[in-house]
Amino acid sequence: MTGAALIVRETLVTPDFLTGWILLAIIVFLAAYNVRKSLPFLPLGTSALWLQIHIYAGLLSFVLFLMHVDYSLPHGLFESLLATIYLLVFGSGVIGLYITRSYPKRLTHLGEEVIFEQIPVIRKKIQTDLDQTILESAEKIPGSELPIFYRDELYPFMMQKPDFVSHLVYGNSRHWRHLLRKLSDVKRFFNEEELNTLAIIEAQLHRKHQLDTQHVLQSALKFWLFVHIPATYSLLTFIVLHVVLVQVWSGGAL
Amino acid sequence: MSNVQIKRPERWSIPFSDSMTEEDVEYVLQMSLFTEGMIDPDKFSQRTSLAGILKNDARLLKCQEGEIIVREGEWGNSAFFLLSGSVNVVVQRGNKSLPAEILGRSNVRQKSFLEVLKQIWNGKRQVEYRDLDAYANASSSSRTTEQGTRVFLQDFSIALDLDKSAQINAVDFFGEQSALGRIERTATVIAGENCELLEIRWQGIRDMMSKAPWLKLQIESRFRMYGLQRFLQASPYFDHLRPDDDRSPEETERCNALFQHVLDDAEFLSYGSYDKVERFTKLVESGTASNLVHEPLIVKEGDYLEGVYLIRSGVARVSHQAGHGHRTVSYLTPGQAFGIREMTESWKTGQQVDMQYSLRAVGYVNVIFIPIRAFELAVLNELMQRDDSSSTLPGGADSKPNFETDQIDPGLLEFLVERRFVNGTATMVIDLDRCTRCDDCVRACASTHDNNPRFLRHGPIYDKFMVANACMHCADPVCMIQCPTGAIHRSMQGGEVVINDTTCIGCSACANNCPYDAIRMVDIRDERGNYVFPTASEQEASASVPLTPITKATKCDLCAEQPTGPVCQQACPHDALVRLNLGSSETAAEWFNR
Repeated sequence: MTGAALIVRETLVTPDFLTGWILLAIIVFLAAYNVRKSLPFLPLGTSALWLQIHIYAGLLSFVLFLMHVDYSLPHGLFESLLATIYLLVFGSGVIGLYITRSYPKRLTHLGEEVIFEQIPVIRKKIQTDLDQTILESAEKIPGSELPIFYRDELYPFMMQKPDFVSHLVYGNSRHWRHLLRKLSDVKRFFNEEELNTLAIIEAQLHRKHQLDTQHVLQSALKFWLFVHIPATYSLLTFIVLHVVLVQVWSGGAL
Repeated sequence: MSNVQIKRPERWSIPFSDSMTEEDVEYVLQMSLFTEGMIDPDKFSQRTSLAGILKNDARLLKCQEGEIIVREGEWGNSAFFLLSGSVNVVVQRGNKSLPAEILGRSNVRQKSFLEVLKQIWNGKRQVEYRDLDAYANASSSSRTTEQGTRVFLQDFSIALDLDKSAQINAVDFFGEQSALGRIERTATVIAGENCELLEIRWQGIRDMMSKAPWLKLQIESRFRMYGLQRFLQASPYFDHLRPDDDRSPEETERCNALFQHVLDDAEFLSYGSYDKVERFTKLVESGTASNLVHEPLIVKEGDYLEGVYLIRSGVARVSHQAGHGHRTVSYLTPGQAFGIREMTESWKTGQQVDMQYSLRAVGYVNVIFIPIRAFELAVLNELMQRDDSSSTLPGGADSKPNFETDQIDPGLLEFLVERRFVNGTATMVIDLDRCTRCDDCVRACASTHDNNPRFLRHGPIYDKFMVANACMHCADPVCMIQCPTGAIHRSMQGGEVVINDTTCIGCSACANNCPYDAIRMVDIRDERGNYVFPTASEQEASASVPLTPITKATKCDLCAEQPTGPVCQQACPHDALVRLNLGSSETAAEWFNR
């Protein structure tokens, strides 16, 4: 009996084979989107159209997946692993959909448009400018507490890496709120000249905070794909093994 | 505080050419053009003397046989007086004109499927790699003179099919329509034998026209004979007067008479500064671009209705008085008209209607003014006699004025007009609320241009819309002015502004002229990644010039060779990026308001 005839017979006998083969075809199509993205010059339709179909096909795959596993937990280590990888791909896709639909608006509302790769350079420049401002201030205002305040409270903020969870969940970081309160408290101890310098410093701190938010949001927009795409290739590998195993073992059953 | 003093800049602070000497001026003034009364030096004021114009607004050119003087489709800001010898004018357009290659242009051709597939391996090429053999095989040659680099046809007699050309003999002039009207050259002019030309920039021609009635008459009659007629025949307002085989001879004669009446009464008007593109970028930087003082008034709101204004070239702002300022309600691009609504309303009601909006020149604008009587007679009366409702007239009384059907947010509209993005026919606009900053557009651009992206995902932002630093393929491409070899040109296929890399000499004239920073000069490399330098002999010839790599101008070509069209737009997964024709406010509004 030829392979094609065997597949037809199998799919007629058990619906698991039918859902399985359709699921495989859909997953291959979903994975093909990444290939299409790397070949933009081929006349294969717009990427936006592909993405729309990708989203609906992805949702359909979840329904088929539930049907395929018969709405129950998988048995055995291999099938559990396969199901976990599928759920990782599907879940990361859903999260990616949410991120790509909501984070761009948050980025736009930040005002300044920054290219991701330039963020460390801009951050470094802000820090250098601040150091310079403080040095000049120390020379101009002898005995000022401002350099000490900068060293103890502001410099650590300038050096610290963005707090991903706070930025993503609260849209702000704990350190930033703490810093704003400190800035407000300390103003009563400064004279007018120091307050002028502090205003310059505050503006730069706001800029650094904005950059941190940019960094966090843009990282999220990029890095969910680092889960979604490798997991997709793992899924395809495991599916091939799954198909081989099923074909080998189903012969006797049928 | 001490005052810093500089010499007040004057009209002739920067002459057209440093090579024009007093002796040259004396020599030119001896020509029959100036001694036989056609242009009388005595009629010019001392302040703007003819000798001064010749010294500062003109230059002498000596052309060899086969040398290309102007090319069809290019943009120029000067006219030429043929002092001796003759030139050949190749007037046919499209496929019948001279081959693009010998005019220094590239022949943009869409890639075949196999060629598209080959691009998969191009990503491994060096940055700005060029096939150096292509430069050696160029079909036209250039020579460097004091006036810059000029291109001439290598085999003039074969290249030029004389049946398709007309000859101009000394003394005569050409190129003035394009220079004064700021429209593309309609013919290619090639030196037929060694000839001598006086090239005069448009400011000089303008001043000469004001003092030399003969020249004014000649230019105006040529304009009416060629330019105006062609423009009005293409206008939808005169559709009903176009030649029609179904008409009786009497009817045809009557239509011709009406059309001639419009031609006779129409006036050609120019507003704004012609070649001061840098001024507007300074205004934008200083935040005063929105100040309408910088924009010459064409028609003032509330003025008596005198006629209809048809935009011939450039962009005009339509505004409405709002408080102590003006609110932009729309903009008009070539072919569109102003005053139609007031005209039809006045004609229907029989009452005087004042202008309801103001019209201002954004940059340099050419306008054809048709007086009220001529328009009523040739258009409104005619349409009524044929029982044709005036509402069919674009912008007529029964139709809403197009300025009010536009749904572009007023602030966004001000932003687009004051920064002159409305000049773009393929402006790259990015909706930042949708853009995930994934740079798929940049990568796609790079992959179709041998690993070199041709735009920056960066640019001015209004609200959620970014206008990226990508060539907008302007309706009025100032980058083409001053290109010495014609390397930057409009493709004959799709009208995109493209650069022929082979004939680009890296002079940066286009990059300096582009007010949108959309053209980048790059140092080219060979297949191993080495910079390419000029040959020793060329270096010796210009010993004072420091050793620098050969540069080429690069910009977005709108993927003219790709079957997909612009891949940046194709590659955007979120439909955030579009190449928008802002010349059509309706199309633009549709996208902005989606």
